[in-house]
Parts: sequence; C-alpha cells; structure tokens
Amino acid sequence: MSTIVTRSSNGAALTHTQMDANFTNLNNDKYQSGNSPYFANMYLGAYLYHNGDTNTYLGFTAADDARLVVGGRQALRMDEGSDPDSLQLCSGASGGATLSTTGRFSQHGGITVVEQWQSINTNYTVTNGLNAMSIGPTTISSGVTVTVGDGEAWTVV
Amino acid sequence: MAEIHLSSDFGLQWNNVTITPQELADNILGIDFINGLLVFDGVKVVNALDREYITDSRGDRHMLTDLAERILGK
Repeated sequence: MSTIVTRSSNGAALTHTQMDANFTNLNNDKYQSGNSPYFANMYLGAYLYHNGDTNTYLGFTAADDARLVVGGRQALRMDEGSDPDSLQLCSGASGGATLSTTGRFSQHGGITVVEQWQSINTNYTVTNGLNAMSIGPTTISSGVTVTVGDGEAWTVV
Repeated sequence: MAEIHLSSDFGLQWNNVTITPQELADNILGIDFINGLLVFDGVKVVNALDREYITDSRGDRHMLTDLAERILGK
C-alpha cells in the first residue's frame, strides 16, 4: 500500500512537497501494462485470457471446475462435480479421455489406440478393491515386485 | 488369504510357496523368462478367496495349489 499523507492526518493543508510525495508514492507502487504483478491470491469470476487472443483461456466456469481452452477448443478439463478426482484430456467440447486418481481410464471417441510402457520398473501393488490390466508383453524389471492382493487380479492382455 | 508377489528375481511367492522364474516359464504358457526377466503375455493372475490361480495364454486355469504340488511336490 502506498504511503499517503492526508490533510486530516496532517492537521493542515498539504504542502507542495507533501502533495508531490503522495503522487510519487502512488506512481512508484502502481502496476501498469507490461509489468509482472504479484498477488498472494487472485479470484476470477470466469476466464483468464491469453493477451490478444479471445479463444485461448483458462476458465473457471463453475465451482470445482477448471478448463483450459486453446484456440477455441477445450484441451483440458478438471471437474470435481461430475467426475471426482478426474482429469479429462479433451478434443473439443466433449472429453477425449479421462484419467482418474481412482485408477480408472476411459476414452471417448476418436482414440483407437492406447499405449503403455512395456516394462514395470517400480514396485507395483494392485490397489485394494480394483483389478489391473497391462498391455503385453509386459516385463517385470529386475529388483521390482508386482503384488496382487486379496480379491484382486492382474491381467496382461 | 495371502498376497501374490511376482518378481524376475524370485519368481512367484504366495503363502509359503516360492516358484522360481524359470519354473513359472516352464509351466505357464504366456510367461517367459528371457535374459533374466519375467515376461507376461496374455496371462491373468487372480487372487480370489480359495481359488488363487493363473490363467495361461491358452485360457487354461492353473490353481496355485496345483502348481505348487506339481512343481514343488507340496
């Protein structure tokens, strides 16, 4: 916050020097075009646009919803409301693929090939209550253990 | 019930049973032991209550109890 001397706090009319100091302080502390402002927090009502670009933006269109739109096409969407803990890689308005922290992967239209690493390089334990699938042939690297717990299955297709 | 552990170093461990990588490859179609590494292709490892098994790439089911008995005589 800029240091401003007011007439009230000064107890008398401001001198020319005090007036000039007020303007100097305001001028020094202001952000202007081209600056890199810093804010501890900033709240947006809806969109944050790329400068000079009307169809590339970061959007917060509703509570718990964030979208990245590039060139008018939605590229990324995180929507806690309709799909908890998920990240949608989009190809337009509708989702292209959904990655979920619950271990689910789904795809929507346009994608006909799913790729996966050929080796398991770190210890892996099938999550409790879920089954797992790998695209084979799948190699277990040296020093690595795959664990299939009670009630779970690991399928290599 | 016990976890099923799979490793290129020790093979398959389940309960007090250990089946080496080479024994796995020799007995399960779809599991190979190549250059010291276990390779899985078209197999399923299922840890279900009282029916722990591996389904090979031909679709045949190998109960772990049967595998242990056949390979290790346990």
